[in-house]
Amino acid sequence: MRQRLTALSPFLYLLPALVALAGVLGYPVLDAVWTSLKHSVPTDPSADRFTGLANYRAIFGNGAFWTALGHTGLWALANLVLQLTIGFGLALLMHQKLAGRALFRSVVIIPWVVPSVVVAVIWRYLLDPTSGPLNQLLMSTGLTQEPVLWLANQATAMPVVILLSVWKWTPFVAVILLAGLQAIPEELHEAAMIDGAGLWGRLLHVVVPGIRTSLTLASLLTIGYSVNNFNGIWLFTQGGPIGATETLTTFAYRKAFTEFDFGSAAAVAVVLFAGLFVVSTAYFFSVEGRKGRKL
Amino acid sequence: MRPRVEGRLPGLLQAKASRRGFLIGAGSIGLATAMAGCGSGGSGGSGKNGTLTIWASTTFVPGGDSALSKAAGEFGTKNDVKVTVQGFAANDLINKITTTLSGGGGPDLVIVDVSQVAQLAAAKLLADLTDRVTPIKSQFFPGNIAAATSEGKIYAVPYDTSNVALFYNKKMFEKAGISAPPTTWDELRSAAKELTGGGKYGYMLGAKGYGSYLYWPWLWQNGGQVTSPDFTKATFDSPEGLEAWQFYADLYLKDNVVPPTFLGVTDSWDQFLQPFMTETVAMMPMGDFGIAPLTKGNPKLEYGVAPMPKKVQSATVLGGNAVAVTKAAKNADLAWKFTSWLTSAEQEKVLEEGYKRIPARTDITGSEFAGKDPARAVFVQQAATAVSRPPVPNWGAIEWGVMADAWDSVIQKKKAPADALKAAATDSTAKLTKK
Repeated sequence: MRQRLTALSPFLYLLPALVALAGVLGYPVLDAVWTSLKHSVPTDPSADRFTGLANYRAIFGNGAFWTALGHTGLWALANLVLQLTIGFGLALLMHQKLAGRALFRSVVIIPWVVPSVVVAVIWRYLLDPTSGPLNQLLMSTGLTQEPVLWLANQATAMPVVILLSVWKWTPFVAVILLAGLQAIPEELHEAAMIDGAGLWGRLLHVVVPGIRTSLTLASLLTIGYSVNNFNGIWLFTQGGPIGATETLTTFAYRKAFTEFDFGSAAAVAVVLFAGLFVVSTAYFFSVEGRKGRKL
Repeated sequence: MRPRVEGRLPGLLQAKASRRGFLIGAGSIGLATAMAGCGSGGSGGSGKNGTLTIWASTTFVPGGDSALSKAAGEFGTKNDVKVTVQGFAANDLINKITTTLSGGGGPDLVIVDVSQVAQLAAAKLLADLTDRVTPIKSQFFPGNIAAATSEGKIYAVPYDTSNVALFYNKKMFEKAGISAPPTTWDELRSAAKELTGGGKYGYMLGAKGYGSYLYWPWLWQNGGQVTSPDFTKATFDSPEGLEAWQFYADLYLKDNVVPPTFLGVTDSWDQFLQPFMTETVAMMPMGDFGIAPLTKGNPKLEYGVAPMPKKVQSATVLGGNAVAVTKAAKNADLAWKFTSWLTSAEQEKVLEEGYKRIPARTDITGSEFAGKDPARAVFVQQAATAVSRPPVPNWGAIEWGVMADAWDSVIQKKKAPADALKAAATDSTAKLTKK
């Protein structure tokens, strides 16, 4: 009896945390699913009723939803590719024993530690068509005659918000990859060099396999953060101009807080959650599975 | 057998860490709303006679020691009530109120934009004040009362009033040889053309909801109406409406008298008035709330304010805020006592001195405050006739949703003005009749 209690005790200790976790994470998800099956419009509370899949039918029949879905894919993919490649490069640089390494590391991390709202204020000022330094520079050097409306132009808005998101989040990826780099034993490099591996060979056969776990983690987090990065778009363009940067999160927000249609907004959120769950799980297992075979 | 706890835990933690990525992600829509900026100020007496919580936008509560907080504190001390005033970013206030009150919590009183009263009333979040307001109704401008009335019931007491007038740069007018501000559409268009050139522009517009908000005066000036009298059908695409919309859009599309950077004016009136403040634009439609930032940003700016130009009639759009008692107020009598006190003639000084805003009380006409500043005098004069937007529950979805999108598709040259307006009217009618 005593023995069994001891066996169970770690889980008993975990119980309060698990309950809290279920309350904080589980309940909102279930509530979102439930809301998505209802006609839930706060300005019309008397009409609250269960409508089954009507909200899903409505959003799937809405062209704007599919446009937003496409933008979400583009946004996440661009963020993933750019953040991983640039982050990897930065991590390699930060890993070198160079003069001023500590300073370099602190500087690289700055964009990530600055709050999103502050990032938005800074960049919106820099990009401002009338008073922003970037446009003044472009015009004073004669590169453009008219100010470029970076965030209000349908062609430039999406690339610009992607670059700003990459600017903000790449340091985070770099730090994760740096941790991975630092975990590779020096002996492996030495052994590879003795076997005649050059810089490229070591990168391919020592570094990349060595940081695979970090790469997986960084990719998963980047996909998750990007798809759900509402601030990175809303604070700059609110999904505009005319939907050019509308992703599923801004679409859901507009459904909820401009149209006050909580049911449809919840349906979008559930679709987003399900999609992300599938993508992340598939990615996780494909990478982990490969590792398993190798071991 | 003892479980290998030590061996298992790291694995458990690792799995949790990677799962956190997307679970946190899923909650981020909620997070984004929670991040809304919030300044608060507590004040008041002993609390012996109860507590009152008031939510307002950062317009009134930019920090802890706002004029409103001070006034509320005065009320608290006098009545032994503990009063707390909290401020939220204007864009988030209505969402915050709706979600919190729907969830059963929330403030006793809210100070909201008049165009949002109907929406909160329809959501059954506000107390019906009809019996209490009716006896004092005549003390306020009729437009402000109309905005606070939904389906025959009064849900709020007008606090301040604002409207839109024509700001013009006196020096630029002089240079172009224009002696007086335009009084008709044709005069406005030709003046704007005269004033455009050499990097300067004649007239200012905004994108998104700023575009739709500033369309209503043109619509009314041309004799059009936003909706049918019973608010069930959008009528702003009538021939009068189409003509007004076309004229309005053509200021940019055809006449080129608007700085192209207006496409980026999507978030604030500060953005909107910047080109006028820096003397890049000679005229702009703007509310009285533009006076303070202009004076602060460019004290040397020599400008005048004139009534909006007329077509078949004069008209401008009414704004301002109103005080409402919520369903969360446990002591309705106390909440009403505060409301009637705050909106009384004695407390007009809070708005006048603290915010340079115009009280929505008719006794402001001819007062010393109204006459002190010639610019303000125009707004006070227009306050009596300014038109309120329809008090319908879905107004936000129409003005900042459907109409904002329609305007953007016009100025981004995706749709012809007439097509965009007709489509917007169809969508708006659907919103008006939606159940």
